[in-house]
Amino acid sequence: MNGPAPVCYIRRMKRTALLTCAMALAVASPALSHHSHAMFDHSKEITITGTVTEFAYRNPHVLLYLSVKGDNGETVRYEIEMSNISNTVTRGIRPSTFKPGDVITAKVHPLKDGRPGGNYVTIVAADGKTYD
Amino acid sequence: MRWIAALLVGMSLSVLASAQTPSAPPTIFTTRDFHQDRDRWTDPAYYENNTVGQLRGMAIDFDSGGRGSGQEASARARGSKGTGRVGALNLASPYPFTNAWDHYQAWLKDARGGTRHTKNTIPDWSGRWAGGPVGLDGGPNPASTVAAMLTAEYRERFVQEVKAAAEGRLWGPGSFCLPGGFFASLGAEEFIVTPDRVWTLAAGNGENYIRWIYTDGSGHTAKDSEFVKWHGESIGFWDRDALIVHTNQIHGWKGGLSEFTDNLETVERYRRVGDRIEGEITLYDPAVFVRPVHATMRFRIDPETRPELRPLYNTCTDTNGPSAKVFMDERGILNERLPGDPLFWDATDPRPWRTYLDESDKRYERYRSTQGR
Repeated sequence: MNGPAPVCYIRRMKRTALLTCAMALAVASPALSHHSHAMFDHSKEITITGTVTEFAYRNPHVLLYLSVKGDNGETVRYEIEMSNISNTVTRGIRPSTFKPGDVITAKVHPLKDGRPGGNYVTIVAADGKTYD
Repeated sequence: MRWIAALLVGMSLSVLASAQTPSAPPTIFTTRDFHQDRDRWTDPAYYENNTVGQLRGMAIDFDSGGRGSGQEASARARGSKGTGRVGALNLASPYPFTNAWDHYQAWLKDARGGTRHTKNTIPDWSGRWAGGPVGLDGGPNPASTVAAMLTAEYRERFVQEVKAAAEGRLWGPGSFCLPGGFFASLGAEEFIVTPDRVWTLAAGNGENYIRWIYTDGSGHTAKDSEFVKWHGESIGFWDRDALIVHTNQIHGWKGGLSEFTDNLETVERYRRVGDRIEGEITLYDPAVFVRPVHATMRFRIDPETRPELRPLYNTCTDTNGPSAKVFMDERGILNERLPGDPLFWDATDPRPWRTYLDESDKRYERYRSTQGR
């Protein structure tokens, strides 16, 4: 499962000191400025299919915007919050991976308050490749 | 009748027994008002033996660096027992000094005034590095060990912060596009070493970290020109192949063990040993620490060389948006929020997280009461 990066971690530290907290012995994160994900419901995974409208390949979070048709037929703009750029690269996702018009399917931890946003878990790209 | 009487006697005894059984002492997970638990803040049992990292891990989704969410890897269920070991990591300085300047001067004296390097003799610290302070959040010790290192005022602030974190109520500067502060700058990715100056560089996700360390003997700025800076002001000298650094004028903030004041001063020592840089840092901030704090620093060469993973210049606002200070008003004109306006950002508040945590505590209590908890 993938999750977005805590904001403002030192980039290299993130990749190498994942279990700092759990092990409590590894090199301390110098940033100490974590981004809580309490707004996402990590006990739920929902699957959404939509058309890519924008792909913001930027730090601190890469963002993927979809146009998604709701149950009532209305189209909503859905925001998928992804990790930082370096972790996104590591997962094989490049700036060209998602293009406007692509139809993709994503699994996300949805926002608890029901607004159209979620925390990326996996994405099946337009070419059928799965990124997790 | 006899069995009814026996039952009544039994029930009475049971009620008496339960009344006489002392209730379990509160923990950070069960307390209704942590302020009342002052005498328990330095007891590992108060934190169910959790480390600070484990308490924060109850709220934080750590990133796994490409292999999946740390939500599963490191997050812990709130209230679960931790693995803290008292004495696992000594947080106290091993040195006899009571202030950073005496410490620095003593090491300068030991180095006979320092080694003057030339371009030909300066140590080679080139390469990409990964590392930083080890266990400066308390490491494998239970959170009580950190509490015990703090003065009464800062101990209370610490307990409020870790309690809120364990409840998913986390305040981090990055969430608000605020600077990470001095401790965030210690995770250098590159050391640019010259005879007169050393720069340390690191790319965060939402900001970049730069330190200038003057080794040319020019010393600190004059007292009447001092002011606090996010990464402080650093001077240093070489003791053969070891770099010693004194930093003062550090902007008080959060980081390391706890909050710290504008009076924090530090002494660092670094030396390259093969593909590692080994070092240490000693923290002096008497209003915060009951004794100076010490941590080792550890860096290793990062073997990652892919061009697409080169450091970036980063700004948090790229995806988190602009400051709330300036806004477009109803006339379509840029305007500024002032004290008293909704969403006003008070740039003079040295502890913006206090406002957050105090309001968060109130809202959380209200929420708990509506949930019958």
